[in-house]
Amino acid sequence: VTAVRPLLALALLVAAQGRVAAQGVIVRGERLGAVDSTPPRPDGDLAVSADTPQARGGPRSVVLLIFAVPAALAGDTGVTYEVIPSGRMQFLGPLRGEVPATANGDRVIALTVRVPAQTPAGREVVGRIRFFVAGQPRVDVMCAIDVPRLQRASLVLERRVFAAHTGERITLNYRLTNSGNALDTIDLRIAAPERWGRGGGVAVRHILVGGDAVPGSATVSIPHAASTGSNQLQVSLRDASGELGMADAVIEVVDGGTSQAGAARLLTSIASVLGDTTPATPVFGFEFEGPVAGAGAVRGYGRLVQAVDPRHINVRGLSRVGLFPGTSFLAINGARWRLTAGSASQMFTDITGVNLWGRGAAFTYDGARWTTASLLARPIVFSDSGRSGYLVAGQLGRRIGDGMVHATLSSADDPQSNRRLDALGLGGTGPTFRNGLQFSGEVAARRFASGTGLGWLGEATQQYAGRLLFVRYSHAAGGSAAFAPALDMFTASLAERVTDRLAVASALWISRDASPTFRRLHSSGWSGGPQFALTPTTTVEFEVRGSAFDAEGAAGAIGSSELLARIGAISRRGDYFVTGSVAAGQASRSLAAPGGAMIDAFAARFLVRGTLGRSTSTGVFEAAASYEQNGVGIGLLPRQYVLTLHAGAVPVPLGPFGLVVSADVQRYNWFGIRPAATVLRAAVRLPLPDDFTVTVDVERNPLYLTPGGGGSWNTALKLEHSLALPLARLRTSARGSVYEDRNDNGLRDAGEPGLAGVLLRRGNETAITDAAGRFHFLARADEPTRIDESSLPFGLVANTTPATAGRGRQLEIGVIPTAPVTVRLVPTGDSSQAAPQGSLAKARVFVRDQAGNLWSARPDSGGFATLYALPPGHYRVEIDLTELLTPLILRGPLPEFTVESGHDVPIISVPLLPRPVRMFDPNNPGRNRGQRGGGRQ
Amino acid sequence: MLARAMLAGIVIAGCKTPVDCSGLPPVRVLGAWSYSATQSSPTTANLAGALEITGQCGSTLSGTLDVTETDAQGSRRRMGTVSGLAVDSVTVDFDVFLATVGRRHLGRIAGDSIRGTWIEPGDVGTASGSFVAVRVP
Repeated sequence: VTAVRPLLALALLVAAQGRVAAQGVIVRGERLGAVDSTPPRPDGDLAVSADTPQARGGPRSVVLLIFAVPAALAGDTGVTYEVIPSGRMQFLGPLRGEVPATANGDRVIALTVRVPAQTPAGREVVGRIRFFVAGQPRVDVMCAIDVPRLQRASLVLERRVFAAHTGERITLNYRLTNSGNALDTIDLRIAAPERWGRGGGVAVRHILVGGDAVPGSATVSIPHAASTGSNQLQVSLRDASGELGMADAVIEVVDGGTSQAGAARLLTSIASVLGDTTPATPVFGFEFEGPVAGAGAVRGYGRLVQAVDPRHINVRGLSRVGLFPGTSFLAINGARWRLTAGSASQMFTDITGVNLWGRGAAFTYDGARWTTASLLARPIVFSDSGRSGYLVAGQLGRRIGDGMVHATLSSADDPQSNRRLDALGLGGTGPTFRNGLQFSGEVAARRFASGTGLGWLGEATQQYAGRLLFVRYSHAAGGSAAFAPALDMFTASLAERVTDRLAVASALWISRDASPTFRRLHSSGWSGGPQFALTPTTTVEFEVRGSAFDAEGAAGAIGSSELLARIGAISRRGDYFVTGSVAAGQASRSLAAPGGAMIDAFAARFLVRGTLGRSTSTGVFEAAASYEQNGVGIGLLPRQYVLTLHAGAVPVPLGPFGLVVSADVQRYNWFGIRPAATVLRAAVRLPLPDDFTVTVDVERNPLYLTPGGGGSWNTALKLEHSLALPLARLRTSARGSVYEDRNDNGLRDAGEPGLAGVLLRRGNETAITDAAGRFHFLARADEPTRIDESSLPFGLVANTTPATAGRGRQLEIGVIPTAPVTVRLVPTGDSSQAAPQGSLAKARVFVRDQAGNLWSARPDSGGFATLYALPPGHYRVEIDLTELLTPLILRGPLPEFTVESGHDVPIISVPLLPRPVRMFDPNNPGRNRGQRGGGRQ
Repeated sequence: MLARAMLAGIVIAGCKTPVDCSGLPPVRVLGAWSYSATQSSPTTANLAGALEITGQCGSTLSGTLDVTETDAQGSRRRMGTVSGLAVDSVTVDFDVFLATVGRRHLGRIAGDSIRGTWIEPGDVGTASGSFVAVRVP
């Protein structure tokens, strides 16, 4: 025994460490028991040895058993052994053998045992080894394997996408399988979005023996306060050992299920700001949005922010709670038109008027053939300039194919900024060429404060095969003093995807202008560089950019320029993202003041930036840092760094509705040049019953100047209420139902039931079918109604034929029940050859319906090919064997079958036969035809 | 040119950037100033608030601008750091970083006020206008 141990140890070491992968089987072995040298007890001519070699092996493994021939058997003669299996485990290799005599009598044998997939945990007797020696009693040695406990589970959801209204419940059906090998207590937990509050989570407990599966269902309630859109549900499986598995589902929460949904909403808020430089005075905000007339076809949107004391508005605090004074307006729009009153603007073209902002009215119509845009307003007055000015303009356009011609007439006078323009322009856009190229141009006669002149512009765009090109040049006599961006302006940009991983982007702009404050003003900028995707989640980019300007006015001539080269990277792994960049370059600054003062400085710049963040449904968390170093004389502070910590939109499940929190900390440091500053900000949004919400936002920002110096706390408070206003009597613009088209004839026949919970989309509107399968849409839309197929239960597919209008112009949308069909390829021998061996995985199985539609599947190693969802119909099987390594052929006609709703289709077996062996006859090529493997039939 | 610029960047990163504190300042502008400005191009806007020069080291200036900007789209409060130069006894040249691009101011000092022009280049039109800063006693 002593001499055997080193050999055993070596064998065990090799077996334990040598995880030999052979055809997907992991071979490993371990000997647990020691060899007992006790002589066998006579039992007639049979003795049972106390030596019981034990090994350990999990399901789906092959275990190597190594043990000694019982010492009781004489070592000077050969021993014959026979393996007698028992139980479900299978010995591999020969079941008989001989062990020759050895000098010292120490002998071992090795056997391999396959542990089946579903073997339960615990000790399992594999069988016995019976040893024979002439003239001695036979000795039986029992073999057992310890099967460890495996805790596994799998989950299949019947549907992965659900649709429901707020306040409703959805039932999530699933099938849970204990894929381990022991009894286990498995908890299924459904985690709803954090912002749904405490009531969102669901837990169901199942106790299952290994290999068992159970269907189940869980109900999830959607809170009334849930926001519309896609919401993710995480379904996890856990037992005492931890997490066993996970699956995701999506709930599409749709508005429109309640009587008030679809009505206009008025959001009323009152806010005040405490601290800082202004006294706390209340400010009222009103925001309106929704249908106002025409059965919902006419919608309105408006906003008014009004302070009780307009002299004391703390815009800093108000902006943090979403109130922006001074932009009151009301807009009414139909499907193709929009009328805005109050704060109104209109943008025509670079040469007929841009930046036309004022108080008045603007109208836009975008018809199928004609378009128009107009503005009638007065410029908003910030300072008393004596005259109020006017903004009057109109444009009429006519579509021709996908091109257009348009004429524009504008007259604008803004004495406050000394801008004036009278213009008449005529322009057009040509058709789009096959390579995506499109040209447009315009000419205009312009009259401005100091004279008259022509304006013209030309533009080319191309969006084609990964290329996005834009080139524009405009000349507008009078420049920005006559409502143009500049006197001359050239802009070009090109973004092109060179390969799947490489993209390049570049841009250039040059402008020349004169303004009331600068009689000469030149500016330009450019950038360009490649962007390379190292991996699907990591991109590196290199960019070189430059900008410059020089201007001359009454105060002197000034100029600046900058050239920077930057290399950066962006990476995203799961919820995490990281960015980093390093840039270096130079900047210059020049000055020639009337008094003779001159500056002509040039110095270097260096910048580093980095961000690390995580974005999840439980909030966005980000840490960022930047450092900047600049040379002397270019107007920039020598050194500074900024550190930022940010947490945003963090839901806190507190109270019945939960609350949302965000917070920021920023640290600025200029290395002694000026005092460092730390900016702190925190905000809480708390939903309350009856559609009330409170927002509290506090900030301490020492960079803002206060009378006392330093930073003080600035607190903004807002209380808002959302009120439904049924201004327009909403009428259904489309209605219908979704039904199970069991005979796939495209018509709803008697006995074909409606389907509940199906999500439908039309334009921007979504709808869900009720218990009878009915749905309706409110908004008029040109787009067709379509089913979101991911919301259908497994086994149902939408009918490809268009929805039919049934009685009362109702849409009837059929959904076809499908059935799984399995085709089994069976290698079969014939009279001359045995059944062929070899993998069938490279074969392809097709089924073709009577309309010629084709479905395909690949068989597994056992030859089973399953087509999971075949609609009702009659099908013919086709098989492609050309990629098989072992040449096989089909013989006889291939089977046909019929899928009927509600009926299973039995497995269809197709025999594959070995190819007949023929000798190639070079003298008779005609006989050699058809000697290759079977083709597709 | 590019290589020179990158080399300069690397060199500057390797050592401390000096601040020119030598000599007397050509003019002392330290302190609080009441700031108002108009934007005349490409759109009109008014800015009013406070300019505080918190540091002057030789000719180098640093500080903060805190203004309320009102234009056709409403009012908003904007804040930015200030850095620049007192060029001579009557001229100041400084940038205000209300955004990533500096808004360059060139002003002439007369008594307790600074008057001048400002410019902020951009790819969709260059903004420019005039400003006045009056020293707060």
